[in-house]
Amino acid sequence: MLHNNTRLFFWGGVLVAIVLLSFCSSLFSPYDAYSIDPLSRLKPPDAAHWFGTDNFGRDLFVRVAVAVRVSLSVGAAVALIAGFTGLTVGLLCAWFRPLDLILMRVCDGLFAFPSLLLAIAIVGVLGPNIANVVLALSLVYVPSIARVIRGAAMVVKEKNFIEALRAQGASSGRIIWLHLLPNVISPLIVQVTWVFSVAILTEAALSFLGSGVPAPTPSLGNLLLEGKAVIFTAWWMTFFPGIAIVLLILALNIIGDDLRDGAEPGLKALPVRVMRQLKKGAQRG
Amino acid sequence: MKWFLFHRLMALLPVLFVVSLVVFCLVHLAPGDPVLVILGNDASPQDIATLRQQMGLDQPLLAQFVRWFGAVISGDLGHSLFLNASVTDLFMQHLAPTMSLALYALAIALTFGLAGGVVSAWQHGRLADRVIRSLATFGMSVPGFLLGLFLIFVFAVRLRWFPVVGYRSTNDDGLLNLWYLTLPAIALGFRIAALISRMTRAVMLDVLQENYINTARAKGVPESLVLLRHTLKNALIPVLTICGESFASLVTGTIVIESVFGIPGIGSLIVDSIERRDFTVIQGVVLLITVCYVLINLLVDVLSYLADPRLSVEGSEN
Amino acid sequence: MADPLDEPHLLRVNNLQVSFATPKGVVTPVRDVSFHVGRHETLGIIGESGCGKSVTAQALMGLLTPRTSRVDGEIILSGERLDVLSSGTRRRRSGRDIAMIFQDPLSSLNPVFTIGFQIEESLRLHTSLKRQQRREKVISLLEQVGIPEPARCASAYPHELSGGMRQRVMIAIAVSNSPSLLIADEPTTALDATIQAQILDLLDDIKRQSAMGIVIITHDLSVVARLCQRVVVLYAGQVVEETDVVTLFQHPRHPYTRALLAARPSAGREPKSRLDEIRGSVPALDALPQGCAFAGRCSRATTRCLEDSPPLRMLGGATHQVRCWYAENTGSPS
Repeated sequence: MLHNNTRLFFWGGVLVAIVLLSFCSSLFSPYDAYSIDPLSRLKPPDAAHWFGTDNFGRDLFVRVAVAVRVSLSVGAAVALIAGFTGLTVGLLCAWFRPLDLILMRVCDGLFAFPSLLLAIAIVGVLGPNIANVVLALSLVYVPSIARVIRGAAMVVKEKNFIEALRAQGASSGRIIWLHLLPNVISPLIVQVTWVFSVAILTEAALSFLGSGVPAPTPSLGNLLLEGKAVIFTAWWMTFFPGIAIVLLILALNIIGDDLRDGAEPGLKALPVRVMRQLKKGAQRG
Repeated sequence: MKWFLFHRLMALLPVLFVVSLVVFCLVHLAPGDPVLVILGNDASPQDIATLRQQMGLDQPLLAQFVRWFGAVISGDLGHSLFLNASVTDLFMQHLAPTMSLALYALAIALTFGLAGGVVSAWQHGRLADRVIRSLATFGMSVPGFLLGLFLIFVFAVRLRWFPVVGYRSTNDDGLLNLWYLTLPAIALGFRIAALISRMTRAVMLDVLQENYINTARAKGVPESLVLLRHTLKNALIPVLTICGESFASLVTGTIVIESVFGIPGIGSLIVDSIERRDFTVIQGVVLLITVCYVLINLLVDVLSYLADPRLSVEGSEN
Repeated sequence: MADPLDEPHLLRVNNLQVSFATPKGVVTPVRDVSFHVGRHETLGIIGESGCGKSVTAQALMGLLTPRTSRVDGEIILSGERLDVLSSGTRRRRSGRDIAMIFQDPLSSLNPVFTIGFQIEESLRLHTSLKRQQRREKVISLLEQVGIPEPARCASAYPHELSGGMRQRVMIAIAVSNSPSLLIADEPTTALDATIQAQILDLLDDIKRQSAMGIVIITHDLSVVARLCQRVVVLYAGQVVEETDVVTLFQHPRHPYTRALLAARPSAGREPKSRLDEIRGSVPALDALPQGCAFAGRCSRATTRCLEDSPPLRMLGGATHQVRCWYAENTGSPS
């Protein structure tokens, strides 16, 4: 148990550090993410520019910080929008049979697409900007949340207390929002946290392909795209955004794992002192 | 069993319908006029009107959909707006590189994923297990394109073991083809290997708790066989399902990896078509990819069903 | 506890102790168990759930995970010490010299292999029979355990068979290499009453046909009465009484044994009278009392019982051992 708590705190700390650094970057650096300085193009990391500069002379540290901000915001927006929409759709489908037939088919259809493909197609035809990225990703992930919520809600729906409420004359609305909803919060949180980290990854891929957040706004994906062009000459352009995204996703995954699994009964490593006791040979009893 | 297959296929139809609907809406609700895109903004109103009529764009949306859907069913996916080829031809031309890459990546992912999962379960709690699990968590957190860039930098540029970018088709030389595809396949397969490894470990550990594993040991089956025959065979059934799900990662992954490594496959086709606003190609290719994806999922479902004798062979009691 | 006749036993277990490492600390479900089994003898090990009988069986077969368990004491089969063997060598003995059948035949058979495969595997591991010979032996084994249509059964999967058939298959697997010792862990608990009788008869038949010793682990006294020559009574990880079956039923000396016998529903009882129950429950493994483990539930407990843990002592005759301070004073059961 001790083993897992240290890990949780460590990565929680990493996450908090990343978030703080990215949102408070102006405290650490006088540069701004957009001003061009042709004299300082593609400088390697030094005391003035901790992460070096890019091909427009912009300070990379600030750009990475803003990129993290952008990616986190996009992820959060998608998680919230998909979360609310998926929750509503899932609950309504679980309760109203005719809605279920139509909406679930639509969800199945959307779910049938590989996620990046659908996102890239949507952004591709609507045009790349942040709003469209959020819209596309939300559309992509709503079905997975809706399905989970619907499944969980249908299980609750069969329970006796729902029948009792109906017999008492409670309205559908009341039952759905006051009684079904609290019982699906747990799977909802699990799904939403998953969507949060997956959305960040997908947005990075989108931006890397040029169908995501448009320049000059930095995103972890398009910074890597810029880095790819100069990978042989300016390693820092790929290295720092790369480290940032790996640390971010790693932290989210590890924390998410721990929260999701709780304790795996019987599969945890046993505490050291217990093993020692066993080895010594307990002559008790 | 036949009922199962029939049932599954029937369930597919509404899904495929919605998919085509979505694809159609995608393109036709987009801002911008495809006619203007083709002819350019200086085109005369007459030319615009003619082309619009030719392309059927003056019809109401529903009629357009019916027309398009009908064409699709009979196999006609239209023509590229920019390249002088039908969508189907373009798809076929670009298919081989993607298939090679995908299969190579899948082979890598299955080999390392299964092996990693089995070793992890066998050494449960010990160092090897922890190492493999950390590697898997890490693998899941690195986006494929980043890994690709890293591999290029280390192995192609610094060490010069592999070519940097590009592709050689199998028509030229099979081994050369593999050499060019190795780095991209690793970049693509690593993440999937991580997923498979985690799942395999979890399932194997579950199965190892079962009573029949104890019976095998009591029979005198050596531990290696207990793992590799008795446990793994039971573990493969849920693992097969996971492979199906990770196919999505494979499909989406090729899109990005092809862009990193300059492989002229379906992914590049999509990306280029989006850049060019070549709507018919976007429509057709997205549809084709999704249909393939749906069918492959169906295949995996059927295989999982067949692999479990409890499902496919009728029992006398449960 | 030396046997005065000094006859080499098929199985001798000396001071067996099993400890497990759990997240809460070390627990010792088997504290001090010794017994022996003769070559042609059926020994019953009886006790409530939690007394350590299944753990004893698993320890005998070497099925406990070495990483989280520790087994002390001697396990001697046909003169060879099993407990000092390497795990590989010991595994080779399993299924050949010592075999086991388990409680729930459905979950104890691998669902993805056919019955024939699972029996044949046992033959393949321990004999040098050719494939055709193995196939024939599988059929003959299935016949021997009383399965109709053995060929069809061999190509079937476990879930296609009924509970009784599955247990017969387990027995077939266990006896396929004519082991000298068979351990049956609650073989009939998961079966219907009518099938139980059939399986017990089958076990008896098989024992008669071969020179096999059997250890039957059960909580059911009727099974003991039917099949066993000698009985060991287990409580809280210790042997509390060991004797032949007739003496056990007619002259039980340990209060726990007496209480077990009294708690059975019997045919001669007055209708509608309450069944005797043993008040209290088995002590938790991590909270074992200082004195006799049964003292808290014993109607005859004294302060001595609460403070001092009694040793296992021989009563007058050489073949009756009891772990109780007052074993001699116990008269005939009421």
